[in-house]
Amino acid sequence: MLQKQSSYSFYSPTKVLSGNKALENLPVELDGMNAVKPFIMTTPGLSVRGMEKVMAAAFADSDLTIGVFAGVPPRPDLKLVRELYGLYHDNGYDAIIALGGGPVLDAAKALNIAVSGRPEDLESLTAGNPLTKKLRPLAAVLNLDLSGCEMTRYATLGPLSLTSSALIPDLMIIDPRTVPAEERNIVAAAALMSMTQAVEACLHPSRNPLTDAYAYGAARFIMENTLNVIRNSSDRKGRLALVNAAFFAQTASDNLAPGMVYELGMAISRSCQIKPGLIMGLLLPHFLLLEMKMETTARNDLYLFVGGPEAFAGTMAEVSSRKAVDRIVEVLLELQSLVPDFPRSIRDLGIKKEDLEGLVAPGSAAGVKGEYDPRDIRNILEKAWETRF
Amino acid sequence: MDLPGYYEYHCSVKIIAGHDALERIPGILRDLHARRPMIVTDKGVAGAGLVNIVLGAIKDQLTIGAVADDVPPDSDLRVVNRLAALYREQNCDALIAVGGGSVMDTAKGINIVVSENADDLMKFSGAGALKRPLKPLVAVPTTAGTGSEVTLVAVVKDHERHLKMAFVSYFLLPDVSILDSRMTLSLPAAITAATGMDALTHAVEAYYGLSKNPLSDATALAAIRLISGNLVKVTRNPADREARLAMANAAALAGMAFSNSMVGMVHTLGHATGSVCGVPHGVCMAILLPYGLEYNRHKREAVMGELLFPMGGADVFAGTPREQRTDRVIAYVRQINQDLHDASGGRHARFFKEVLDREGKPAVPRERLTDIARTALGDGSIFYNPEELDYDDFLMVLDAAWEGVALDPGRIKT
Repeated sequence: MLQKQSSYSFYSPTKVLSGNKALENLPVELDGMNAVKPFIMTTPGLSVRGMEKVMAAAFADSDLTIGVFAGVPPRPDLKLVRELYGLYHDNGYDAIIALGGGPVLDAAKALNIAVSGRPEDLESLTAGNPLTKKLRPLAAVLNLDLSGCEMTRYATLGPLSLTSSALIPDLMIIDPRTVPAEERNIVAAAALMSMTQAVEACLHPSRNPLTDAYAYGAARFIMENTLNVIRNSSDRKGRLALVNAAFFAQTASDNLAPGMVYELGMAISRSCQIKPGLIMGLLLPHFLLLEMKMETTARNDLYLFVGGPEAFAGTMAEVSSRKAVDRIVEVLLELQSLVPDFPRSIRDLGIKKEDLEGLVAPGSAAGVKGEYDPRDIRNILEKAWETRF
Repeated sequence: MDLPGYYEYHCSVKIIAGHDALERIPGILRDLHARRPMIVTDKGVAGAGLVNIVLGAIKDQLTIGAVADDVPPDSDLRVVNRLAALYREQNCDALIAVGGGSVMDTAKGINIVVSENADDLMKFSGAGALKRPLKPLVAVPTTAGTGSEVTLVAVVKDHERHLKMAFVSYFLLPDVSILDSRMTLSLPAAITAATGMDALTHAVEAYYGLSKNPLSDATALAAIRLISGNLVKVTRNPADREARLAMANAAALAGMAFSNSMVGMVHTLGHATGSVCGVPHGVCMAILLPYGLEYNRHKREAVMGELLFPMGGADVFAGTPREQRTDRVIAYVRQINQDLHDASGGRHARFFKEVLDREGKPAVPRERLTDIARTALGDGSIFYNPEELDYDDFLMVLDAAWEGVALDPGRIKT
């Protein structure tokens, strides 16, 4: 791995508990943070699938008193958080367990701001005032249905965007019982989202030894497990590896900045019903081909992340990054053949060519936040619109 | 990459690295709501001008409540209590630890006393006794080796009661570690070499040990790559700032790896040699690391072979058949020791018989090896070693490491 040594900072406060009976260790961890009465939040869907019962059974031998709210909707808002704030306070809870990804963690992070200070702190944070109080312990029990920012500084609550490193969960639990087999498009979307975050971290000009280490772990797990998990619903270990990969990729990405493909995928998904991870998968090869044209020596190690040490070392340096793109395209094509209704291009999403321009303008409502050359964004979008994989 | 059936990983320390990372301290402490830090350090560090560099970086952006620059190399409870009293007298509200292992341990001990209002530190020893965050602690390591800037253990001795208290808590982790190349620029060649080999040992033992996990693997591989590219270079040219920073990064990465996966027999024997003969830890690590690899290879052949990639680079890795990779890894570690020996004008010891004490006499007389082997039997770190060792095994390894010869494969347990 070639890289420039320069100034950086890196922060990942989360304690990871991954594997068999991980849930059973959660009470001890909470006790270590002086918490004995956690408030569990989840979605109706996960509740129906019996996940909260799994949790309750795992805590049976502990002294924890738990409360459960199983009504987190797909798009949580301020009203919900105010309601949960009342519930949390009236019952004297002292920690939050988010069971499930995406909206559950958005709501849990927002609730944590409210219960650790006052509900007004939510608006105060969006207005740019940093949080001043230490938040309550927050544990994330993740599965494969992920938004890509569960373990990051970010949370979205209706129109509000919340950003603070204090929002990053203290604990992450990846337990086989709470990582059930999911539909193929959900697994593919999670894997491609993580892959995008890992690849963009690896190509980021400010990459550092720690973001490299996390991105490497993510890319290796995704390449080694994604297809197998989709083909074989009994591959429990593979599923856990993919959730681990999501955490590693999110952490690498969160310590740099969201990349162009990630942002475009998020922006496009707001105008259609397709999971952002699948859209990122369609954009990623075009982004990489563009990157290769502008290649610098520091970028030659992408194939190490994607192909692993054996393949990387056995490949001539000058074709190495081409190989990395080829491998990613191979996986993408394989996923498209395995996942029903996987779009083949951006055009398939019902997006008109003239709509693309709205995504190009930096800072526009539809567009991306980061500063990129609009010509690059236009180039990638047009290719992803015209080319059908 | 392998996913174990169960693992835990935690390192909540914020890492700030760079050639001018120290300048970030005022902002960091402001974010942690601290205004009046106490600097904890030792005479050696202060004498080398490092505290002045820290003070220069802070300038007038913060009021320094106190500078305690007399932490002894063998710190104890009395020092901790005395400095905690100073902290209170001067109304400090945070700690900046500038130094090596003893300074870090002392600062962590002070932090327990001042945060918990403890009159008896003993009440907080052992795992799980601390339940809430302590005062802000910023760690500024001045060697690139121990990794104590990212570990959650503090050992405080009580010389009066002949006790060694170990404190283990996530709340003991520093809030922030500052890796700044200026802090190690003046480190002499032999210390640079030994501390660097300490870091390499952390990473290598973490990688082939029994409780490895994906994050300890990723951090260990990154550390090994940085050490392979920079340790000999910086020992030859101590003023190389990039290599200094790379080694500071490597030591922190290796610290994250081993503190989340444990170490093995190299540390077991190193602790024992340190306590029986007073040999510095890094020196023991450098000498013993090849033997850890040789002794355990039949259990961890494939995993050890993977280390050739970060050690030798892509071409060497690709050009070496799989079954020869572990041999190359072991040879590579011995070669680093040889190169460090040459680069330090012979001061970096390759074998125990070369280790000299302050008066220039042999520090590890051969007849003490039996004492070392006996002491090693009582060390818990052996629990995570891939292959078991009894007294005879320890002695066999020590004999070879004294003489500087490879282990006889026929005498290793299978």
